[in-house]
Amino acid sequence: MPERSRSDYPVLRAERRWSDGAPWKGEIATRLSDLKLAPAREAEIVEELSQHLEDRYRELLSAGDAETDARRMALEDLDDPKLVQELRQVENRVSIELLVPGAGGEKENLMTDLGQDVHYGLRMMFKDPGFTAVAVLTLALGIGANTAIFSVLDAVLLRPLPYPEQQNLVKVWTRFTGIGLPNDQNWVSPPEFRDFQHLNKSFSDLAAISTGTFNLGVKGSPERVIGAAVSPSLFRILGAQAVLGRTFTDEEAEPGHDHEAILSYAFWQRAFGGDRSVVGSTLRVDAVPYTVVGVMPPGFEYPPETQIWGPLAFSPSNLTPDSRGGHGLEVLARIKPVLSLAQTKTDMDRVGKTMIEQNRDYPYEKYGFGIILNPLLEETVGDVKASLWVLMAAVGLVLLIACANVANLLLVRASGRQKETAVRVALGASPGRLARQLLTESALLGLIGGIAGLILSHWVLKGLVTLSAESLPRVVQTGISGPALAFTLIVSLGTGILFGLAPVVHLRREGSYDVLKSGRSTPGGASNHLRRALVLSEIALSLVLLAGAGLLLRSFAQILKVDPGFRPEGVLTMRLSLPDAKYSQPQQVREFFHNLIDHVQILPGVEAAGAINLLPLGGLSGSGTTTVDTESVPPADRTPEVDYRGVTPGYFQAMGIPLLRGRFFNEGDSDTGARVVIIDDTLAQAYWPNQDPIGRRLHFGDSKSSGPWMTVVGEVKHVHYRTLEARSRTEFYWPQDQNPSGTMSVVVRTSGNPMSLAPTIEKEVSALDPELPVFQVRSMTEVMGESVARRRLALILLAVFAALALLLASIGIYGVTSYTVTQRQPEIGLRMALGARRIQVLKLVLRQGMLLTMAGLGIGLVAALVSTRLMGSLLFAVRPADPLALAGAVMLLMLVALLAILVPAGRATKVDPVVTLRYE
Amino acid sequence: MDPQLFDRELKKGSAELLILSLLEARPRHGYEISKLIEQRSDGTLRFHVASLYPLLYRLEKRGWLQGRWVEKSGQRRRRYYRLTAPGRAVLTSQRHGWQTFVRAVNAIASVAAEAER
Repeated sequence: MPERSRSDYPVLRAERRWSDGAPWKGEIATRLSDLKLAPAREAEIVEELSQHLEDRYRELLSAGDAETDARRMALEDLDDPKLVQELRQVENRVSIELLVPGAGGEKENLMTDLGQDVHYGLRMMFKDPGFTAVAVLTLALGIGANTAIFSVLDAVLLRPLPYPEQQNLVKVWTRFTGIGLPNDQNWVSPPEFRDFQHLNKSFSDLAAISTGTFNLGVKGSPERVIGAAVSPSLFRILGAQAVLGRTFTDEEAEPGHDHEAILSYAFWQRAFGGDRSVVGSTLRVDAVPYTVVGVMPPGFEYPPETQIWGPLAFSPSNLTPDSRGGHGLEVLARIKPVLSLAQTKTDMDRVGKTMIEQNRDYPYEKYGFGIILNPLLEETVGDVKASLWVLMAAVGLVLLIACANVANLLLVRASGRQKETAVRVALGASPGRLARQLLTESALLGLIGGIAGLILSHWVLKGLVTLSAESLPRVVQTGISGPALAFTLIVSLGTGILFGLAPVVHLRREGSYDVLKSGRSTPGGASNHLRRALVLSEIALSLVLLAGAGLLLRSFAQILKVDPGFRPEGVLTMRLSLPDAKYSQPQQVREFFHNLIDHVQILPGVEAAGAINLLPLGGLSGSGTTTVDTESVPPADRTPEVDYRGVTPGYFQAMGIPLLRGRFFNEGDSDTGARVVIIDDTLAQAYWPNQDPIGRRLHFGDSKSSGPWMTVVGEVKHVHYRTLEARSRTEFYWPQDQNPSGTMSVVVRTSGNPMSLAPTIEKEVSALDPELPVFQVRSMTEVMGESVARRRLALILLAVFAALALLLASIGIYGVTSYTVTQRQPEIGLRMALGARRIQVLKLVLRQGMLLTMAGLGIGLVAALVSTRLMGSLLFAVRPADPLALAGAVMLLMLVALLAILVPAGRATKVDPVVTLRYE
Repeated sequence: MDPQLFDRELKKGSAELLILSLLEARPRHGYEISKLIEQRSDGTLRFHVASLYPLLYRLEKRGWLQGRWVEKSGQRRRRYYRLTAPGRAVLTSQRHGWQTFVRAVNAIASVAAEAER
């Protein structure tokens, strides 16, 4: 609107007639011009007031006043300063072309204000697309990562299991202390399960589960399926009904009646195309006919991944005292609704004591026997809890850093908007109102960042699920769920308000009035402090993340350095399971493996071939009480729990396990030969220290057991069978021929790429038995990789987050340095004009930046020392205060900071003194 | 309370009541309102342009009044203010509050006066 001055209007003259109102209008408009009202509104007010003045004027005239007096008296009203003052208050907040919300001083409708603020905030964003893009992108990265990790956390840890009253479901384990079991936790033997059933008063139901893989003949092609033999009560406990047919009856858990099978929905769809006539048909499971009685609903897979269920029947031989040591059952129970977990634990402690009393012949007392109850949810996800929470904390830190960056951006912008703010204050905006408007703007920014983050997290999550499907339970069910959406919304708004606080604090600290007077923005000292404090905390937080990632990296490197006791390179493994029905005689099993190994051994590219019943790091292990014939330890310690495995003679060479003493097995160690074993160096050291173990003896079972003595013929190096992280217990091997197992892993050492030989070997297998499926065909390196997959996943994720943090922090450092350099340009110009050399200027800027970095590193180091302690359970052979990881993190951060400072510092030296001084 | 401030608050509060009351019967324009206030108070209360119009705009903004330009034949265009439903509700409550207040003040003032006697 063009400025109007009084001269635009004719000077009022007495002889004019006033009835048209126009001269009043000029007087009024002049007085209102300061208000800068919208033209339409101004015209309206001018007209209304001029009507009033005209009325008054006429009234005065008719009362007999002279025209001049009447005019003067009418205009007197207009000159009251209250008019403009009051109108400003009322009108400025309703004018349509509102540029600066918050200028009204009066308390107003909050919703109207909010609407104005949102509108205004959006306009400011579009006015500065560069700023908006950078801020939204930064936030999207932070929020996206948080949403993705929270989605995983929610799916894996927080979402209850899909069973009714799942909080009453517990896994029941036995406790045997001092035999090297993780958490002293052991499986349950059939007699123990029977004891639980008879003695407990707390469970409404108990189910035993025995999992395994089976050969299944479906439509002619042999297939290996994951199956479980379960107590019929399992389905009751989990509240599951068959979607087709029925579940098991209690009678079907009796020996001889147990040839029924239930299929999982997915398996039914895949193998039978969803054919409803499958119920009542016959399947051959490990060559034994089973009748299909039902199909479970989609999604029901307990134990996880089960494709086929059969009834678990205990034969009388399963329940003899000798079977008490056969710990192989998983037990699931439902606690009676009225009881708490604590009450149930007390009851089961009593059951445990009774079992010790009733079975004096079994070494319960010696191993501190007890019963462990773990809630099912805890059990399903327990061991990933720590890593997930650490990751959640890590992405939280990334988000904080992102917030600090955006806060910094906002501060820079706030300096640019100082004048605007000052105008608003002058127009009567209260500090609270201004703060509210700034916070609305930043919350808006947060929300937009959140939406972008949500889109981003969709992709991140996809990648994450692919990356972790194998190593995280339940992760496949991950999607962006309601809770994750709510989480994102809260995080977006929360971060918006968090980083929005910076300019508000800045606003409160800096009086805005001076700006108006000087007419230009001045760099405020307080805002510089705030900006530096933000960058300082970014550096500190990044260091925590880098240190965490460094620790995981070090742990991983340490694990890869662990000597597993064998040489995995070039080794191919595959698993076979000979069905009992077809290979009922031990001799058949022996012959099959003799033939197979003989054929494989002579294949070109094969250096050695053998087989073992339980592959190292394959997730399965076998162990039992063993009596060792030794005088070196007290009698009570001569019956330890030992890991044992059956192998064919070629196994040790194929796996690359070095022989320390004696000999490997050979063809002579047959069923008819003398009973022999090969022990590992750990067992030799423990029971025959500093002696030659060759020729010594041990046997299965405790000292009363009638097992035959087996003579030690060789000593090999200890192998990490269970995990790479920890040594296993003492180990021994028996020759396959003396105790044959139908399920074996074939191990082949090749001279080239092991996987390229797989088809040839599979051909050899099918030449011997065309119905026999081969499964788990993997190189030994892969097997090792899978055993540390979860650790690798945690490492990758934390490293990605640390990299993100590093990037954000470097942007922060760069930003604050550039800003300072720009601010100090006149000073730098002056210095250079006075003869300072470039290198000196460079040093000046560098010193300032590096001082800030150092301070951040100092604080970060303390924070890292405190917080990495929480990672204890994720570390391996590395202390939380590992100097190498910490030093590495510090060095990396310093290097990146140096780069981020050097770029703007270099620019500072290119300052032309003349140009900058001219501005002063 | 500072007597001047008390006076101002009282006037501000009562001004709203006055305007709302005058519009209760029918819509009126600004000049008419100011005239009526002056006449009915026998000249005790006077509203000038500077205090009347900002107040009208304010009440309009609050939704208690609604202003409309009306052109009657042979007359100039004038802005008439009409009481809205919310305005009517406010009037009822303000009127009630005012009467209570006046009664209370009267009670005290007359009791005090009697005690003086």
